[in-house]
Amino acid sequence: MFYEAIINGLIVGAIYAVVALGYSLVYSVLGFVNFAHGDLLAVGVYLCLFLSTGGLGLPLLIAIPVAVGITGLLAAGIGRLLLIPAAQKSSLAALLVAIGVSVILQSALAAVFTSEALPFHGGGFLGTTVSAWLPMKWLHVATLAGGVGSLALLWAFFFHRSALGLEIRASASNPRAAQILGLRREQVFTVVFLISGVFAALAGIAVGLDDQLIVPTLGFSLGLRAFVASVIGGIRSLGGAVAGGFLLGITENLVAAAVLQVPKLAPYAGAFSKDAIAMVVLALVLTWRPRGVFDRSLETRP
Amino acid sequence: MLEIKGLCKRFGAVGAVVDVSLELLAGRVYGLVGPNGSGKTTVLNLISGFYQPDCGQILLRNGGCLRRIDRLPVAARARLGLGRMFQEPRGIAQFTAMENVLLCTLPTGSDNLLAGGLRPFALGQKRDRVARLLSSGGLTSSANCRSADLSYGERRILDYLCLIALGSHLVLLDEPFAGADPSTRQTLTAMIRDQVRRGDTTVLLVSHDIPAVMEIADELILMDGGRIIMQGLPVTVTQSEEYKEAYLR
Amino acid sequence: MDFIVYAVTAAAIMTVLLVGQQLLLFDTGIFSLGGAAFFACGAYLSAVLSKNAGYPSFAAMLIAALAVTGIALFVGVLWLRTLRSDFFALATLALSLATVVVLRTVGPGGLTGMAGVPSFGTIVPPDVVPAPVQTMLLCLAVAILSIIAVQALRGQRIGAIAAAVRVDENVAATLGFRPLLVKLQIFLFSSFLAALAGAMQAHLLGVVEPRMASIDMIVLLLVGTILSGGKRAWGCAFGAMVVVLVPEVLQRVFVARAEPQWRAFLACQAAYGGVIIVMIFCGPWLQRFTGVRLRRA
Repeated sequence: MFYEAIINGLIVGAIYAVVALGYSLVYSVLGFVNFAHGDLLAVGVYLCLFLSTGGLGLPLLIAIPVAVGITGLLAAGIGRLLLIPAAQKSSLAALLVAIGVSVILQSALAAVFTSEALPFHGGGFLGTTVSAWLPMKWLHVATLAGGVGSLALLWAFFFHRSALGLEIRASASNPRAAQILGLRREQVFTVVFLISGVFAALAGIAVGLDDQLIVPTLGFSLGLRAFVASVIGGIRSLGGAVAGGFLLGITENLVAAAVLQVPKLAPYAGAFSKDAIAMVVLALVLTWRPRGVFDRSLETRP
Repeated sequence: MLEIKGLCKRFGAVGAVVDVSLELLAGRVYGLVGPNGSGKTTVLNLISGFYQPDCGQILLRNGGCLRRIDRLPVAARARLGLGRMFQEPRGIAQFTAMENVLLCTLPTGSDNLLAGGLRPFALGQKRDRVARLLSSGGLTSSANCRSADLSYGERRILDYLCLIALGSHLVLLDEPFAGADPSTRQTLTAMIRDQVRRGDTTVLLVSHDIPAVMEIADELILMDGGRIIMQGLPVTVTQSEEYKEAYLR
Repeated sequence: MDFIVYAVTAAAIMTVLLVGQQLLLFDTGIFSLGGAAFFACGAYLSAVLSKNAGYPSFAAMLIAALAVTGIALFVGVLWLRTLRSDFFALATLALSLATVVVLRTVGPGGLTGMAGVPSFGTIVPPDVVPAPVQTMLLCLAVAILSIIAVQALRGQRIGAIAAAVRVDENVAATLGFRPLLVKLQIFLFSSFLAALAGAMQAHLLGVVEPRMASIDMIVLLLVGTILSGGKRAWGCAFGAMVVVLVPEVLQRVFVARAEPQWRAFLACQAAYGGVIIVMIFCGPWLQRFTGVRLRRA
C-alpha cells in the first residue's frame, strides 16, 4: 500500500518538480510569482487535445510536440509583452498582471472548449501496466523518465554548459548584478518564460493523459500545488523547487494512503483533498520557514 | 551614555564584529573609523537594533541608569533615546520637509490607535518648534517641498533635523558627509556641535572622510577586521602605526 | 426600479469592503489576499447566528464581524511579523483558499452553501417604506460612515505613521514607531470591514456559499481595490459600482443573445482580468483620475 503510494508520489513529484521549476525560475530572475504559469499547463493540454482526438485528429506523436511548442511560444509572448514590462514597474504590478492573465486564460479555455470535463485518451500502449511488481502504467514510466530526464538535460547542458544557461543562473542568483554586468536581460527573461511554458505544457499533457479527463481549472489547481512545492523547497532555489516537487508528491500520496487506513476519517476524505493539503502545507511553511528548506541566503541588511 | 561589552556578530563563517567593548561618555563626539569591511556599519546596526548580537551586551543610559538594550526591538531603542541616520537620505519621500520633522515630534504611543494615534497629524502647538528646527538647518524656504524634491544635501540635513526633533541622546551617524557638498558639510558639522554642546547628547559617527571627522570628533575609535584596534585623541590615532597599517593593507 | 435598489445596496456593501482593502494596500502597503476569507467567514457566521441561533440580524452582523476580527488578529500576529510582503500575500491567499475547502467540507450547507438567511429586517413598518429600500438606506449609511471614517483616519497621526511604515519600515522603526503594531491595527480594521460587508451580503442575498472566499472573489476584490485609486475613499464607491454592475450588465447581454449564463460569468471573469492588466499599464494616465499608484515609492 505504501509502496504504491511512494511510487505514485515519485511520478506526481516529477510533474510537480517540473512545474515548480518554472515558478522558481521566474521568481528568482524577475522577483514575482507567475500566477499564469499554472494555466499554461491547461493551455498545453487543451491544445494537445484539440490537435489530436478532439479536433484535428493528428497522432499524439505529432500533437504533443506541436502543442508544447505553441504553449512555449505563447508563454514567451505573454512574458515579453506583459509580464516583463510589469515587472519593471514593480513586483506587485507583475503579480497582479499575472493574476489577470491567469483569469483570462482560464475563462478563454472554458469559453472555447466548455467548462465541463473533456475526455482525453492517450492511446492503448501507454495505458498498459508495466508489470506486477512495478504497478505503473507505461505512461507513468514515460512521465517519470521524461520529467527527470528533461530536468537532468536542462541542468547539465543548458545551465552548466551553454552561455545562455549560465546567464540564466546568474540572473537567478543575483538579478541586480546580472543587470549591471549587462547580461542579455530581455533574452534571458524571454527564454525563462519559454522554458517554463514548455515544461508546463508537458506536465499538463502528462496529467491529462493520466486522468483521462481535463477541466479548465486543471491548470490553476495543479499549478497551485506545484507552487507550494516550490515554496517548500525554497522559491529562490532552483534545485530546491525540484526537490520540493518530489517531496510534495510523495507526502501527498502518503497522507492520502494513511487517511484511507483510518476509518474514522473517511467522511472527511474530501477535506484531505490534494488542494486542501497543499493549502495547509503552504500556510505551515510560510509560517515556520518562509524561505524554504533549501534556501541558503543570509539575513538581509537594512 | 553607552556601554558595549564583548560584542560579537558572525555572518556565516565571517566574524564581522569580534569582541568589541566600548564606553561612550555623554556630551562627546566619537568618530568610528577603519578600512572597508572593518565592521563599522555592523557595529552601528548592532547598536541600533537591526542585527542581533551573537554574544555580548549593549547598555544605554536612559534617565539615570544604564539599561540593557540588546534584546529590544529597533522602535523601543529609538524611544529610549537612540537615533540613527543611514548612509543615504531616508526621510519619507512623499512628505514635505515640514511633515517629516513633524513626524519625528510625535510622542510615544502615536502608533497605537488607543493611545494617541487618533489625534490629527497637524502642526498645532508644535508650529514654533518645527519652524525653529527647520530654520536651524536652513530649510525654511523648502518647508513645504516634498522631501523627494529637495537636494541631496538638504535631505541629509533634514534627516539630522529629524533626529534632533526626536530628542535622541545617542546619535548614530552612518557616513553623514558622504556625497555632501562643503556647505552641507559645514551646516551639519555646526548642527552636530551645537546639539552636543547644549545637552548631554553623544554622537558616534562612522565616516571615511577623515578631515571632516578630525574637525568634529573628540575621540577616534579605530576598527579593523572586526576588532577595535585603538582609541584616543584624533591626532594621536591618525599618527599611530596601527592606523597606517590598517589603512595600508 | 427593484434592480436599482438592489444594485445600490450591493454596491454599498462592496464599498464597505473596498474601503478597508484600499486602506490596507495603498496607505499601509500591505498586499493581502485574505479579504475574501474574512468576507466569507463574516457571512457564514452571521448567517448561522441569525438563522440557527435566532439572533436578530443586526446583532448577528456585528458579533460576526467582531469574531472574525479575532481570527484576523491571530493571522496577523502570526504572519505580519515574519513575512515579507509577497510571502504575506501568498499566505493570505492560502488562507482564503483553505477557507473555501473548510466551508465546503465542514461548513453548514456543505458544497452548495446555506440558504434561508433572514433579511435585514425593518425599522419602519414595511408599508411606509418598502423593506428593500430600508435595507438599501441602511447599507448606504454604513458605507458612507466607513468612507468618512477612513478619510478621517488618513489625516490622523496613525495615518501618517502608516504611510511612513509603507515607505520604509526600517526608518519608521528608528523614529520610534512599531511597524508590526501599526500594520496589525490597520489589518484588523480592514478585516472588520470585510467581515461586516460579508455579513451584510449574507442578509441581502439570503444565501451563503463557499464560493465567497474563492479565487473569483479574490479577483473581484483586486479589481475593486485597484479601481478605487489610492487616495480618496470615495473612489471605493466607484470601484464597488463597477464590480457590481459588470456582471449584471454582462448577464443581461448574454441572456438577450440567448447564450447560457455560465458564459456570462466567464466573460465577467475575463473582463476583470483585462481590467487589472489595463489598469497596471495605464497607471499614470489613470492616476489623475483616481490616484492609483502601483509603483514602489
